[in-house]
Amino acid sequence: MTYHNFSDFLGSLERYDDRLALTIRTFIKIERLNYVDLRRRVNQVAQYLQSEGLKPGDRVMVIAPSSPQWVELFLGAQLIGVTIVSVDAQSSLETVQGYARQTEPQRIFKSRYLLPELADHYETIVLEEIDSLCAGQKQTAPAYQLTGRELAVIVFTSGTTADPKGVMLTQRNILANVSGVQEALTIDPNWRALSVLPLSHMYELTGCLALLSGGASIFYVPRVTPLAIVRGLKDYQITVMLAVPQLLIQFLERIRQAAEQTGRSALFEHMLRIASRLPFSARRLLFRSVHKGLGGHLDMVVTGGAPIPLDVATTWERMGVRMVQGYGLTESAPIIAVNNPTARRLDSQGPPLGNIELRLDDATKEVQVRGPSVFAGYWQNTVATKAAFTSDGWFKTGDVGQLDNGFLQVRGRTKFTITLASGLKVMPEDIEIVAERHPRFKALCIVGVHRAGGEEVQTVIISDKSDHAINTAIADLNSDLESFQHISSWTRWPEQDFPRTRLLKVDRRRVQDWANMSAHTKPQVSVVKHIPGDPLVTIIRLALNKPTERIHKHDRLSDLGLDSLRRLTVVSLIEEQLGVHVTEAAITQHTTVTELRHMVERGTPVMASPTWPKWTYWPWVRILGGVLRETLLRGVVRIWVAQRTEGANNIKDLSGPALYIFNHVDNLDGPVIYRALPRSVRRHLAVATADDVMHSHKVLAFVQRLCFAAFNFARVEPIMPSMEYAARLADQGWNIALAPEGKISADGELQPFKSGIGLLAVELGIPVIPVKTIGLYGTIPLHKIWPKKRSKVVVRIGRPVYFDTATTYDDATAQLQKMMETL
Amino acid sequence: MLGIDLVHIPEFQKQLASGGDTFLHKAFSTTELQNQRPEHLAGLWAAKEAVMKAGGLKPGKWQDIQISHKQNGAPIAQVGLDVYEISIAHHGEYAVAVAQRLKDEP
Repeated sequence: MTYHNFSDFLGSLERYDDRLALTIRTFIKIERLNYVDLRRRVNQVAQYLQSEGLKPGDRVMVIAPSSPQWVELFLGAQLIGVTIVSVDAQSSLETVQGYARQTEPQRIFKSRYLLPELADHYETIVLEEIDSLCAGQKQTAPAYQLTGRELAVIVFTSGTTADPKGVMLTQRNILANVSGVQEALTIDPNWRALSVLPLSHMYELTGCLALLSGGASIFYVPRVTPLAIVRGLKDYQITVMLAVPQLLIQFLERIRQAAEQTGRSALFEHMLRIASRLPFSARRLLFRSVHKGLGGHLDMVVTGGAPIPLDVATTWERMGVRMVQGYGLTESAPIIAVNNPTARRLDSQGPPLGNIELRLDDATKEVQVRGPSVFAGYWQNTVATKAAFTSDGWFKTGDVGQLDNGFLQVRGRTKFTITLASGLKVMPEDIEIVAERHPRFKALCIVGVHRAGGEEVQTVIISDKSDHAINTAIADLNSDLESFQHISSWTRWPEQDFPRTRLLKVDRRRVQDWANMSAHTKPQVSVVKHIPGDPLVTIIRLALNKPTERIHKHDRLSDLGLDSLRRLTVVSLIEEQLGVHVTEAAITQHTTVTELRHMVERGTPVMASPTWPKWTYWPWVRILGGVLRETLLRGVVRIWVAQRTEGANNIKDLSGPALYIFNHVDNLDGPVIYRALPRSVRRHLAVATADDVMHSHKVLAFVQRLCFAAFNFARVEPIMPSMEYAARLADQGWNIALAPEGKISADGELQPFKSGIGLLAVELGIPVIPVKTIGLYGTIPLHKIWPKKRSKVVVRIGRPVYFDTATTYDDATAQLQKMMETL
Repeated sequence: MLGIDLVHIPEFQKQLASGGDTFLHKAFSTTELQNQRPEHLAGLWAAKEAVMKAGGLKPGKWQDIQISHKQNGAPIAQVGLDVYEISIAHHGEYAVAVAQRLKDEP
């Protein structure tokens, strides 16, 4: 399918209107946008931008992690011909300011807490608030005729300090690539994709648009961490991911580690060998425990950014996950070639897209391409633009490759770009320019050295300084570089000067070849003392804002600037990135980096999600539980309670889930309320039961779960998991019953509501119905299990009340309390 | 006993950006998070720090310090049964808070 412009593209999505487009968890609730909602929001964003005075050709910068709002803003801007300048959320203030100086954006949309300093110089808007900013806008697209030649996006090739080049892509460039990708991958509406890469990169952006063009559903996590990815895979039953090789390498390492820890390493490797001879479905069965950890549905990963090592790809395939490798560059919007999922080759980046012409230069074997997705040029840089194309108009990728039966195999580069395993690209020249500002060595040459999954940045130097002095000097140099550019190892060049080309430039090719050879043969290669990828050091660097090289293992954290605020950041990051709990109180004035490392090693692992039993909600358990419940209610409860209901009419028109809140006077109020509600409600009614009670009374907990679909609800912080759980149940159509007082009243009088009820009422966005029992107090009082008396009870059902998100939790709580009192 | 704390809002914001949701949910109770504007949260954080100092509390008990508002809108902090009177002010890039423990509940 060909799209002429983004208005055309959005129109084509109409056929998926009632399907799920974008999903993210915000606070306690899962926010879902169907295609119809997405299109409406995009129109509103366009209207809003227009009302803010933005005109075609204006630029808007975005600095934020991936989210539905990011997509809305991008598409909304396209509808009125406004260009998005997309910036990686990890960029430093300096880098962002550099981009802003070059592109002069009229507005900057940024994630809430990122780069607060920007607000001093630019008009910034919090991206997370865009939906509420646009809420009052018209839901139709502004009348504006798009040609498709509008500049859609400016993407900077890398966070270079020296010479950032803004790649200009038009609407047609991107949409041509979307069509090409859609055709190659045959995306269908049943795909459920987890987004783990930043939308500021074309790989993710075009991937997102291609998925949408095929009617697929995309799921976002608030922050991309290994824990969040696993949780996302499970929660959303993900089938597809777009990833860089690094992620697959990491996950594979974890799987191997887990096998090792349970003593099944040999078995695992043996299974891999067997699997190579099995059909795909059997492989998934063989590795079902691995698949269970990945949510059970992951079927395919599209990799790009860097070539995936063959052994990694093969291992994943043997475990029953299809590896579809592709190749591209930002300048080609970005996909040039990608494998077809049903005819894929692991040793190739696939055949070129249908609308891409690809040729190899006769002499250099450089991959050169032509086609509708090839970019218009670099932003305000005609020299670089001219240099990027051959005289007959083909884009020079700088990669060397070969074609094998039409399948592209990228073999290396003509340029010396270093491709890290994360897919990030480092230009050696960028580092050398920074190094030249303060010369520390006679000469140096930056090259890429092959490591598992990618390359790392190495510097080859000529110097007669001591190793120690060199380490210090490199540490110093690193502090002037962006973190991804950091030099991770160095070697001494054995001669007095580097080999030179005829034009007397350093012959980088020869230096690089030598460095790669000596990396394997010569043990004397010195590595800068810290381990560059050491996650704990990275955490300390982030929280304490100290360059990695200033962090030594015997340093006290307090000397590095740890205070209570930063300590909480450290603890939070350890939890998110390393999946381990460390208590704040254990980190004192005297704790050193090494001691912190020991704490991490001994820390208790963080659970991905609450581990409450799932069986409660199995259909057959509900049927059995329902029968038992009805027997109990009609047979047993009625012996002790004669009850009648008032106000049943108040809820007869309700459809969909609601939150029933009741006064807590007696151990029997759960059953009594159940009996008062109509069958249609109680069939899907889950009762929030105090977490501590469920834990201490196992039998009671079992009966509660079985008969009343009870779930654990924490009475003290952290209450977030309980809230999320309740939200998830409501999301699946369950009614929730909850006693907002938190405990049984000792004297039958109504106690103050806990503030959490206001939060649930506002955030769940479902009607709240107060239900009051009168006359029940004392039937089975607190701490008793046997009825003391027979009671005559009136159950009053109040009118449903709705809260909008602008209501404060305190107000909602107070209002509900009042309603209960006056009922 | 008295406690006081001063928070540099941009720095606080950076820590929020680094620490993410985990940070937010460790530092603040779920209900305190309805308003997530950085200035507001910085003020709450200052108040919690001030309460820690006033009460000589161990670090890491941020969730136990619950900040709410009295009928007249004045903020108040509760730690278990202890009540602290607090006052929060913002100006420019800074938020400041003082806390004093009350002998009996007001």
